[in-house]
Amino acid sequence: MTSYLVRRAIQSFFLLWLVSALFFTFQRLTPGGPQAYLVDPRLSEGDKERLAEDWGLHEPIHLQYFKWVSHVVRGDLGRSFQDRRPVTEKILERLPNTLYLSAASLFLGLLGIPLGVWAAVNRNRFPDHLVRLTTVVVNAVPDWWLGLMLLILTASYLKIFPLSGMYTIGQDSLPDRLWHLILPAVVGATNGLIAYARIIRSEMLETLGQDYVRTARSKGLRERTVLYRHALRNSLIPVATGIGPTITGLVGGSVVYERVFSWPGIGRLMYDAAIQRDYPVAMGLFFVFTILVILGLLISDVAYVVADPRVRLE
Amino acid sequence: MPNHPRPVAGLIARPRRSALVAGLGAAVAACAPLGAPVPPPALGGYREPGRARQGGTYKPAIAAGPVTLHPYKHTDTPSRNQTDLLYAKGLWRHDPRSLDPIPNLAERWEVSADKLTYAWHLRQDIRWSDGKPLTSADWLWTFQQAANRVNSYPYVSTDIEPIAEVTAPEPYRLVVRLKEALVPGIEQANIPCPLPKHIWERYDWNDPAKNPEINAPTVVSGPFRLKEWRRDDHVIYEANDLYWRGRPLLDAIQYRIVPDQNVSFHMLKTGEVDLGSLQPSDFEEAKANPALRLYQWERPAPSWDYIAVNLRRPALQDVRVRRAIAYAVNREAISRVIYNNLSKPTYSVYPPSHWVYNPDVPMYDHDPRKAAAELEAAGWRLPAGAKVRVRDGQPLRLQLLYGPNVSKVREQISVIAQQALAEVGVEVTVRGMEWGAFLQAIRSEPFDYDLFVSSWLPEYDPHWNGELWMEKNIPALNRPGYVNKEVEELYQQGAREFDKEKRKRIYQEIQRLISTDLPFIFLVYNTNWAFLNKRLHVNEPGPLGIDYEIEKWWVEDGR
Repeated sequence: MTSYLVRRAIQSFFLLWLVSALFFTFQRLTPGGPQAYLVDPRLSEGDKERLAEDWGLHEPIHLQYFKWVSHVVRGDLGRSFQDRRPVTEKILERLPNTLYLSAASLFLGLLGIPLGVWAAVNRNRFPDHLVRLTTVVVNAVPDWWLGLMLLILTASYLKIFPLSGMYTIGQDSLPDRLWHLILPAVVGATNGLIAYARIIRSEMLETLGQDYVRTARSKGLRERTVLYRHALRNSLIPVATGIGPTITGLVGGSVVYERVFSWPGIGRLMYDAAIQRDYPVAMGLFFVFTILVILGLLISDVAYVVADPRVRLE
Repeated sequence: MPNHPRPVAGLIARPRRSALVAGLGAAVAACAPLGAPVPPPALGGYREPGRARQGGTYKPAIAAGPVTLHPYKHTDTPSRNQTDLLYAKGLWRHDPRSLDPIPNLAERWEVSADKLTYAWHLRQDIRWSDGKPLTSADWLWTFQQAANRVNSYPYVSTDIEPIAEVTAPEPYRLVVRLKEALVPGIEQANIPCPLPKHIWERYDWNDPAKNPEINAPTVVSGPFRLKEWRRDDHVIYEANDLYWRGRPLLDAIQYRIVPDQNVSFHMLKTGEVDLGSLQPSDFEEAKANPALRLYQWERPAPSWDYIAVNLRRPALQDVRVRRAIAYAVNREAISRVIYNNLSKPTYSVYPPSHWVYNPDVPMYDHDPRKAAAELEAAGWRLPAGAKVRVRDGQPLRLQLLYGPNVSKVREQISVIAQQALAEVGVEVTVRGMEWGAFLQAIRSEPFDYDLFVSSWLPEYDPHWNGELWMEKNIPALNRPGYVNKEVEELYQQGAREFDKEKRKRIYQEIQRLISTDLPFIFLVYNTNWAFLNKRLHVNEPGPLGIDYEIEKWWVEDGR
């Protein structure tokens, strides 16, 4: 296991290096540098070029990359072109907001697991039809639209939930925060919920037909024990595969929900940085995401071992 | 807006929208540098004078928050609007009705006979929010920082380069000498805004990590002080008791940052906010809402949409073809379908609300028969049964670009133009492009396009629009590649003609020449509008909008 982890660490280091160099290059190859997004006609071409020079964009690209790397190894992701603040600071100030929302969404999404079990146990009966129909319909609806409709219905007409933001300005308390959290968390949970429900349903159907389940039943075990101790554990393996990417998604946030729910998170930061060509911020976020993806995949591999004792990491 | 009506940045997402957000935005922007020989604010808005009361919070929703609160670092509209609340700006300002220059932070000024030197006599009653007087030393020090190359001020070419020298001979006298004597010299001699030297000189000018005053200013001169800023969430301001034109009637302004316009409109309807960023399609519904009041005004230099013609293309070098395009496009349809009639047709480089507008420019109103006749005359004939005109065996096919591709407005304009041109036998392919790619396509070799749709937000003085037509600005600003020495010469004259009537005639001639040559097909210009909750009382709508004196705004219920 230890030698496996060391090998993975070395691989990851080179992977990170390669990916960052590629992203850095591709980013610079897209037409129009950040100066193209200074759309104020009062700025002359000369002004824009001066700003580009101050941002270090007139240097050869490999030099810019080496500078970036030399800062990164010292833990410095550079400064935003937009407001000159450290990229790390910009990421860290939004990270808690995103984590808070995505953790709630993930938690709600896990409810898909019992839902899948429920559908599988009642195969071709009402609960199964209900779960299958709902997951297909909700899956077909774009998230942002679902979010917007829920928001308008429950917040604007029924006035049950607030229309925007993480909390009421001036009344920032725990109940108030939870009240603001419900809608975005529910919308954020739908993808996971649907995926888990469907995966678990089909996996359960397969496992329930296995010999060992029949054996368990014939031993006279309670149905509950058979379902959750014997069948479900084996059906969870595909879910474990999905855990790594899910963790990355937790941090990445989503510009879609964050826009609709006026949520000041990482997704909007990434979107704005990409749209305005704020290279240091985009690069910083990309770098952090890459590390998380690599970590996430590692966690997935380790999770396999836990879920399935037959798997060994070599 | 005081001297430079700046464009609505944020072209990125939707240029038009931001203009409207600016309806409030521009408005709030405008507010800071107003003021005049100033009696303290007369109690009462224009609507029900005498009823005004102090207290309460104005709660607008804006689509994007400020990027920075450093007045010498931003290039985006929200940052400019918000720094206008914090810092008093403008040695002079436009009169809210006549738009003539009137005193502001300077109580009077003298211009030398050669029009190069502006001697400003500063008001002696202006204080920083810590009680220290605002003097010429603050102005001079701030100017020196902005002019210092290492400080990377974005607007060097407009705000710094025209100035030869700034001196502060006395505590309340500031002398600005220009390099060139132009009519808009009074704009150039206006230093953007002073910062408190006694606070700022302790800190780094550029680095927000070393200068807390940049993003959390404690010493300001504008009508409001910063109370709290949570990025991408909200910004709260509270009244500055020491504001030189008198403490604002409002106790506070609370901006909520709401990126989605649908949500913003719902918040306006539920009364959660007093102003939202609306789309033209929301207009009728908002108008029918009894809780909202509509304000409408026309800016003297509104933004306008146009189709630019690539004059490098042989087919388009023929003015008859350009006239045919101008006749074919239906401006009324653009105004109705896209803008819900909140924009109006325009035929000239200066729209009808501008003081130099020439009503006698050639107007190419929608007329497919005239368009067809022009094309016939140019040799483009329609073979029997064909849909596309042909000359010398070549079909008349044009490529029209628009950008950014997320702009619904530009997409719709492109499609309307495409249909209109198809009716007269011109086949147009429309291509929406990401902003960076779009700019690259229209500004660099091989200039592979025929037409593009875009918009322009001019500045108040007619002189600055000349940049669009100068040969030296091909292709950066002069994208069609238009060369007319007569137009260039007239712009030179116009900038040096101090007699207002004579000057107006020069710009009228320019309009006639450009509308005859048609490097651009002018389409529609924007009118401004905003819906606010009725509890708000604002400034009387005028060419500067509704917030040129925000200290006089008040709320009915005092909340």
